[in-house]
Amino acid sequence: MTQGFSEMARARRSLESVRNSKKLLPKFYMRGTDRKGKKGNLAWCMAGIPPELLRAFDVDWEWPENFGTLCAANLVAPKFIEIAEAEGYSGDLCSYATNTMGYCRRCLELGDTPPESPLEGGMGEPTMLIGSGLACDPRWKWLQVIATRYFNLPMFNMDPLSPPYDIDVNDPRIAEHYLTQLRTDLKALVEFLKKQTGRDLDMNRLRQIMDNSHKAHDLWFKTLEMRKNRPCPMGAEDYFSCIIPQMFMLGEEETVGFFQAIHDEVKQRVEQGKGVIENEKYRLFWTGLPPWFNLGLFNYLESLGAIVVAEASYYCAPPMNVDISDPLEALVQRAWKTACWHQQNGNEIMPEVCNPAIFGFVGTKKLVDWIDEYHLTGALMNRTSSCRATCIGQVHHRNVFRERGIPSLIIESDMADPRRWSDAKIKAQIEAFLENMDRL
Amino acid sequence: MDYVAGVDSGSTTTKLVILDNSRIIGYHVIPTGANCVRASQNILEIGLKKLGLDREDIKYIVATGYGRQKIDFARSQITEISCHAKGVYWIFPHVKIIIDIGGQDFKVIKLGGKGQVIDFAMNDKCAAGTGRYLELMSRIFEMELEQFGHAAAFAQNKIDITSYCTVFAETEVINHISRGTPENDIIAGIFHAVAKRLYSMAKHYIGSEKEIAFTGGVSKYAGMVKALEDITGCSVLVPSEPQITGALGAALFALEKLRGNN
Ligand SMILES: Nc1ncnc2c1ncn2[C@@H]1O[C@H](COP(=O)(O)OP(=O)(O)OP(=O)(O)O)[C@@H](O)[C@H]1O
Ligand code: SF4
Ligand SMILES: [Mg+2]
Repeated sequence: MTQGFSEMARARRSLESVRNSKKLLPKFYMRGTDRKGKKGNLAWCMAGIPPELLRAFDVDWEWPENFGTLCAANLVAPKFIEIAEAEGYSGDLCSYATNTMGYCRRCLELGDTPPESPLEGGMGEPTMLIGSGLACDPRWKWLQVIATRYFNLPMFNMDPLSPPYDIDVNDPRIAEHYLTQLRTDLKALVEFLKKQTGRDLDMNRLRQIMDNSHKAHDLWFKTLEMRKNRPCPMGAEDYFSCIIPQMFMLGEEETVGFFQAIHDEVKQRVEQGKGVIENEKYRLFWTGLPPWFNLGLFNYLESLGAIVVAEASYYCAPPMNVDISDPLEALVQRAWKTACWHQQNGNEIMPEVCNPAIFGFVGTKKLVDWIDEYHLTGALMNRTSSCRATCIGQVHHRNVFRERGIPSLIIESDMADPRRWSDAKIKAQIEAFLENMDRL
Repeated sequence: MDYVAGVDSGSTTTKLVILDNSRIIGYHVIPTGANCVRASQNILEIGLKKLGLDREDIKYIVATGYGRQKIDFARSQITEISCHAKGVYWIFPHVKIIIDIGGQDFKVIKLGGKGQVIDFAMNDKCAAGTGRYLELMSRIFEMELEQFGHAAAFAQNKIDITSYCTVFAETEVINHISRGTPENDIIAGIFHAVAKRLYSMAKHYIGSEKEIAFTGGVSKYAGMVKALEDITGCSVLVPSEPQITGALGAALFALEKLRGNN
């Protein structure tokens, strides 16, 4: 499988609790196989929709984006991307999207047998699509393409919530406008799910699920805060490996347990003064999506004395205090408060991605605080040619850092397509960057 | 005697500089070929023989360039970026901007007041516009590299080459030849296109600087130096042996390390 990409290395995770994720979550890896033969509902969906709601309706879900990262990490993404390119899709389209297109084409060609992929049984046969235009335009189009060109499926697309950077979100009239939009959208999604599943929404169940998902989020946020310690107890190789349980196992008790274990291990490290690496020479901030096909990059950095202590991508906003007695209203409030947090902390960098997602991006104000809080000495930025949304703000990040004497390096590659990775060049640049940080 | 050496194992050529304290007593440039380890061993032998020295006489060797990690006779490895900065600071201590174009790389380096690297950029994925590209172009005209480099000086006009891609640019050039465009004008156009492309990356680093140090094999093309001056509006300074700048920097690091160790 890895033939031809010998330079790519998988991440060696530092935390035992993260390494255990495979054992802890066999459900995650076997879900495709488990699903086979069962006649359940399966939604393919986009980040930005509340998965808690799907769980409450007993709808299983898959994230084509995340499947892209999984294919990338296993170096099979080029296989699917090439199929999409052969169909005529541009190589400059989001490589998660082209990965999905190639996968769908293979599904149609193979019929009942799922295409060979890192997931036993694949992404399954969807019964519905739930999209969100959050963050970028490919997301908006991507499920539409699947619905119209590959499978003929019912589809629901949520409106992205993106308060512009120059409005006062504390103005009650403005807040009401967005809250109404959110409520209307959510109500429509509930109706859609009722129709597709033929059942009603169980509010008690939703409340329980949200309680669990908030507990997990709380633990995760506390864990990230502990990375401010010197030495840093957790690196990017572990951070990026934790995205999967957040996305697939949201709202489950087991997930709370998973994040509790990570939290406890990290806490213990902090108490013992133990870091991922012994001699922490450089503390780096990471922006952009990671090269999933080469998460070993972070171990390579560590071998040079550099540890990534914070990341802009998938950063979660602090937990929002919401009353879950009315769980639907809680979803609305959470989305709104998170969007406000992003608008106030992140809009200078990426006005287009100030959003209600659990994962977001941070702006100048936060960056400046973080330089001190995380004791940053430099920044590493991945400019992914096929995803504009996550790297358009990097120049700004860079300027903010530069003004404060923090050097940064932009490398160019991709998140899923290893053909866009030049190992020798990128490593020469990283080494030169670190070498010269010593001399500054 | 405390001799030190720097070896720059580049994608196209391997360079050696031997210092006696801070005086250059020997330097060589040979093709890297398919085996960079063998080339670096050869060049060291050549260098030692020429000076009548033994391997033991060289007290510290620093390796740089693409092949640096593979050169096991070197005591330490330092990247090309740092070595070029070191070399240029020694030759032109007042210059703050370096452009180095080798066989596959082009890089822009910005220096601080003490010669330290403040920032740099490098071509990441595509080698169009580097030395290999210009060699290919010179072959279309069946010219030696030096002749090719001087041809642009006789241009009356210069044509536009719009393709980034090496192969498409070659087609464009061939079309111009068949249309009867004077060769010198086409060659001037080629250098101009490379300089323009480079400038889009370097502009931000050059800022209000008035001088640029230009190193690497490509700075040996007179037409390239001229094109770079025209486009940047800066005076472009080329060391007398521009290809050995990285190896010189490596040798200077070796000297520092040796002195530090003693
Ligand atoms: N006599 C010459 N006149 C003009 N150009 C030359 C001459 N000799 C070499 N060159 C150019 O210099 C290029 C090689 O430059 P250099 O020796 O700096 O490369 P390198 O350091 O091996 O490469 P890199 O830094 O990319 O790894 C050749 O591709 C060629 O275009
Ligand atoms: S944000 Fe980037 S990676 Fe994510 S879907 Fe949009 S284009 Fe693709
Ligand atoms: Mg070179």
